Amino acid sequence: MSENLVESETSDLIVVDPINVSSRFTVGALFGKATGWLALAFLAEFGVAWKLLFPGFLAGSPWLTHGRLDTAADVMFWYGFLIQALIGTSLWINARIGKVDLQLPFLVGIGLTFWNLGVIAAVVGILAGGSTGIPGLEMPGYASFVLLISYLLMAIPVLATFHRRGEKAVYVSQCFILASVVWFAWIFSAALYFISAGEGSTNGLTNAGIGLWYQHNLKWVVGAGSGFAILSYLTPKILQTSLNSRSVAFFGLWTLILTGSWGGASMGSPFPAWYSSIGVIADVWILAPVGALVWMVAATGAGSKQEFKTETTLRWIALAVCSLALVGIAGFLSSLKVVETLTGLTFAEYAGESLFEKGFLVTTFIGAIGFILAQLSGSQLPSICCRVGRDHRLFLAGLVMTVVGFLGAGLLQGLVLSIGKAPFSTAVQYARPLLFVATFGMGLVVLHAVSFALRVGRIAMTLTWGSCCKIGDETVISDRGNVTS
Amino acid sequence: MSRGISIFVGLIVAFLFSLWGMVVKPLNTFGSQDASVLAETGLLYPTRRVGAAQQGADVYRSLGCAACHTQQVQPNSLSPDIQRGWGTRRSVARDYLFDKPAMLGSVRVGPDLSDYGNRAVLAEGETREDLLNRELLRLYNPRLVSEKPLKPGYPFLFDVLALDSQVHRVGLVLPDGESPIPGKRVVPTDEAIALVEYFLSLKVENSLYEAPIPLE
Repeated sequence: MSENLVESETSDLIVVDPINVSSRFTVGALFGKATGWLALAFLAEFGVAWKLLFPGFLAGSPWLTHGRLDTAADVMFWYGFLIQALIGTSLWINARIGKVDLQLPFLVGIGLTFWNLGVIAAVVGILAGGSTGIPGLEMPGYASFVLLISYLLMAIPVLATFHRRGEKAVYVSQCFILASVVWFAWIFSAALYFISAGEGSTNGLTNAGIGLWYQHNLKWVVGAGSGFAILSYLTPKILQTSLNSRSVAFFGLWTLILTGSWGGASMGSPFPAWYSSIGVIADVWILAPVGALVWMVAATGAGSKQEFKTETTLRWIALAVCSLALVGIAGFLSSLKVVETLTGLTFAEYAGESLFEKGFLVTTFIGAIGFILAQLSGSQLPSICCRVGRDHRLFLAGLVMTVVGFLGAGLLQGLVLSIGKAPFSTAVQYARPLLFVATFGMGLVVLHAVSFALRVGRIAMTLTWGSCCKIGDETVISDRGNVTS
Repeated sequence: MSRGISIFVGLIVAFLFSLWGMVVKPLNTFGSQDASVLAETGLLYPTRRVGAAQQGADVYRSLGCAACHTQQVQPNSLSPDIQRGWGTRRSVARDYLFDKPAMLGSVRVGPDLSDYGNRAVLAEGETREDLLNRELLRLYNPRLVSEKPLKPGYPFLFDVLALDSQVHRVGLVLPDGESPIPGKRVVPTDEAIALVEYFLSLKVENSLYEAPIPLE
């Protein structure tokens, strides 16, 4: 395989292979946009948390009601950040493992342009009051259509790159990430079809049910599936070892597909008992894929404790795995009636969301984006401050405060509300100090997300436009992989 | 068959199985329910919302109220919702027959609203106009009706007009000293009135076969 050698200012030779060169423009652009949306999503979430403390904040603006801002934040997170980060990661992983250049990059370019326009249309539409009110699918119909078409344009190159692979063996991480990519196309198109087909003829609850089913699939099969792919690819690669057990990994894949694709309705919801029961059973059994992945990473990394403490990407992986283990346990506990009585429909729901979205998904992708950009640019992402790892601590502190704050607030709310005659307002007032903690934690997470987006944005700009740019103590390569000094 | 193809086939089967169980089957079971006459009352249940109340459902959806309020009374075994007076029985699928979409909500930042229409009762000597005014005040500035309100006001649902303006809408009756600007009156928009009518239309009151009203 021919290699292009790039010389940095410090005269170290950085090896840039043609596969990285072929994906640099596209993956850089996807990561740049994804992290930008992540920062905006967290900023909006911070606004939502602030409004919990001070309901009058920005109350005069119809565009920024608590409900609209909350929904817009969700759309920015799942569609702006996650899907673009997923496509970027899957393009790169498939090209690397398959030892083939990225296929049809122009399609990704067109797709991501329209995808971002679709996300903008969705966010503006929701802020303007055009939400559909269906969980997970709140964006107005016109935005959904644009998103679906542009997603297909971005997904085809992923499949084409896999199809043209030089290395014929199929690896676990490829299976996970391809499953996530095709699954999103299936659930998104199916949910939109059945919602529009059922319009006007069915019980209103079925649309909510379709939304909850879609949301559950998006969270577990698409979100967690892509996270599993990253962890099962990066952990052995960084530790320069092999994945501990392929059979455990495949067990994780299939149990994730089976449990993640069923469910959505919670205990006590107005759905018929059989429908809610499926949701509860799925929540219990989600422990199987979660346990498999945690065991797999732990077994692969056994004996490498020091690396997990010092290597940047492995630090994020360790945090992601710990969060995932907690999410699995929380899911299991919430299927117990005594726990659901205390935490169901309370602020604790926000804690669960934060643990999964920020603790698992975001940390996994932060690790992956940092690692991949380093490969593409030949430069590590600079830390916020001079010491590597400080931004990790900032994020960790924010995450812990957010989760503990919301969990505590939810438990207090649940405890007070379990006294049948206690006024609702008392329950929320008791929870207020802990909401302060959670909001402060959200603030730290926002700081990290903005700084991360700026750093990724700078590298992405360099990769995309080929101009030379000094980042930290290192020089980023330029000129789309041609030799420069 | 190569490993890649067998995994792909497995994924399709798993997806179709999930789609059938969680989407198609519900559409054919509780999704195809229809309103029926209740043996106890001889009345059709549920009935469609009409007029302003139906428009109010759109305002509720548009403002994203479901982010803070649920519309699902939990069963006694799980939550003391019924003891708290949030409904006389648990909510079931039939209650949402004409809600497009059903806005269940997932977090209670504010109280459950499933049965709000039965909670917002007339005080002694109060007329329906007084009740409407009280609920509109709650929307305009919640501080005017409760001491430490947790909900924000929605002043953009109201117009502040000159006293002699040609708009023929009933103004809000504000408590003394609460007029925003002297010589002006606060007039609810159609959206505000529709939203209040929607709140007042939310009721969970009939005993159903699948959800009988629990005995005291």
